[in-house]
Parts: sequence; C-alpha cells; structure tokens
Amino acid sequence: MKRNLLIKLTLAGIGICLLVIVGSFFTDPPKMTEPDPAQFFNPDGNFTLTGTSGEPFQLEDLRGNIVLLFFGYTSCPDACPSTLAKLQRAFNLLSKEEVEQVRTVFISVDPERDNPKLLKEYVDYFGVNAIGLTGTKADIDKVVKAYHAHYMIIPGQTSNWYSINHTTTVFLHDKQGKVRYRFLYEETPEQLAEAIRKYL
Amino acid sequence: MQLLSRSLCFLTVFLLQSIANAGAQGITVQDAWIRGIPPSATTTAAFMTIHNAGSDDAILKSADCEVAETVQIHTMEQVGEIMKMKEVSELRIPANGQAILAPKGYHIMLIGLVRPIKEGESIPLSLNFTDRPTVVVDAVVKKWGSMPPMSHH
Repeated sequence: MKRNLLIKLTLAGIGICLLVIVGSFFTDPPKMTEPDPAQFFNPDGNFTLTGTSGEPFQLEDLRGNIVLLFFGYTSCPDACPSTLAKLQRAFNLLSKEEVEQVRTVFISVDPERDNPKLLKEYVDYFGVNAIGLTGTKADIDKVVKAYHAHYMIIPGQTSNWYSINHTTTVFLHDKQGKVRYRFLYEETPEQLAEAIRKYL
Repeated sequence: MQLLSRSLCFLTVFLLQSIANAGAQGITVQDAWIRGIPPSATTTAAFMTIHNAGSDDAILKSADCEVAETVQIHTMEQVGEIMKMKEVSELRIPANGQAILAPKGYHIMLIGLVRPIKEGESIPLSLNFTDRPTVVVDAVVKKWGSMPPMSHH
C-alpha cells in the first residue's frame, strides 16, 4: 500500500516536472518593446560572424554606436524589404549627426543562397548604414538562439526557390552593446526614431 | 509647369489603362508596383489593388510575368514575432469589391528573375482569372512602394 503511494507520488512528481519543462517553452520572453535590463537577449553582449568582405566581424566592433539588428534573407519578398524601408523612414526622422551614430546589422539566416557579394549589394541598396553578416549554419544558429529568435526553411513547390519563416523583430542595442528595446513588425518608424534618440 | 505636364501625362496613361482594363468584365487594377531589388537578387513581389465591378466574385488563379521563371500568389501571416508566408491556390475578389495586394498581406511572388529589374521600369503582368479574360497590367518598379521616404530634416 505504502509502495503504491510512493509510486503515485513519484509519477505525480515526474508529471509536474514535465509540465514545468513543457510550460517553459511557451513562456513569453520579456514583454515586447520593454527595456531588457536582465539581458535576456544576447547576454554575452558579443558574437562573431563573417562580414561581406569575408572578414570576421564581432558585435563588439560596433561599440559606441546604436545597433539595430535583425534576421532575414535576401530572397525575402516582403518582411525584410519592409523592415529596411521602415528603418530608412526612421533614419529620415533623425538628424545627420544622429544617423551617423546608428548602424544596422542584417544577419542572413540563409547561408546557402546569401553569399557575401549578394548580401553586400542587398544591404547597400537599402542604404541604412547596414552591415550584412553571414557564417556557417552552426554559427548563425548560435546567434539566432542568443537572441531567442527563430527561423524555419519552408521547401517550395518549385525547385528554384524556398521561403524562410523568420523572426522579424529589430533588436536595438545601446552604445555599450546591450539590447534595450525590441521593435515589433507593426511598430512605426516614429516609435523607432524616438527610441533611437533615447539611447544616443 | 513640368510637374503639371507630367501629372497630365500620368493621368492620361492612368485613364487609358482604366478604360483598357474596364473591358475585362468589370476588373480594374490600380497602383500595380513591383518592389525594386538590387541587380543580383532574383526574387521579388508585385502589389496592387484589384477592383471587381461585376456582380460575380472574380477568382484570380494565376499570374504570368516575362521577367520571372515562376509566378505564384502568396499571403503572409504574422504568428507571434515570426512572419510566415504561404502560397495560395486562388485569390477571390468579391463582387462589387476589391482585393488589396500589399506589403504584409497578399502579393504576387516573382521567383527566378531572368534579368535585373530597374527602378522606374514598367513591367507587364498578366492576371489570369477563372471564367474571365486575362487582364494585363503594367507594374512599375519602385524601391519603397507607395510610401516614399521623407527628406532629411
């Protein structure tokens, strides 16, 4: 009888543990667009990837600048160009001196298709003081994970193309490299410009 | 003066286009544009508003474009902070209504561009409907769509 109870208790314990573990997958990251003093996002404050000339790039290289970082891919038909357009509009709300202190970092989650040359041409085209970054899939995945971002390759029905579902959030880093705000896709250039100004 | 003549020119083109389109059983297309992309990129999207003045729903089944190997109708869905895109088999334009193809929503995907596209260029796009004649629209390549960036302060 006692043994039965023990088994039941053990099972209940395991059940609760499982619930907690599974539940943690669904826990929201810190509230949208709130400051992130606990450094939930990129707690190391650094990462290394490859720049568009093939040189190693560290986030630390941009200390002293406001950094707007997001993930995407150059064959992205809508979300990435829309985000870049929004950044451009936010930049236009700032003075020239303010813009000079802001850098955009575009991290490709598509190392298969986005070679450094294409990546450079892409970010230069949209002209928002942007740096394109790539790397091995393992290196990119590490950075994606550090920012609690996600992406998933969706095989297409045509052989010449596939799409990628990905996080569209823009991470604002202050001049010390700490993530301060996260901009959601639906937020306006005005909101973005206001927050950039706050950390200049 | 130049602005005036340019506006008149645009207006004339627009009117002619509208008249041409009106023939296709009540289907008219407004503000068709293709997102400009850098020369070596090979995928982009076309956006527009399709009006249906007819008394039956119109069903857009497919589209063709000479500059793209593959053309598909897609929609976007924001799930949490992730943008998901998927192909749809058709797009219904309600009777006496319209369908808006715009960033963050429905769009026509141009996949495998066979040549670079230039800003300002006009590219014909054929819209194939069920039970209706095909409508050909001229889509203008624009970097920012209908929201041009503002000038510096």
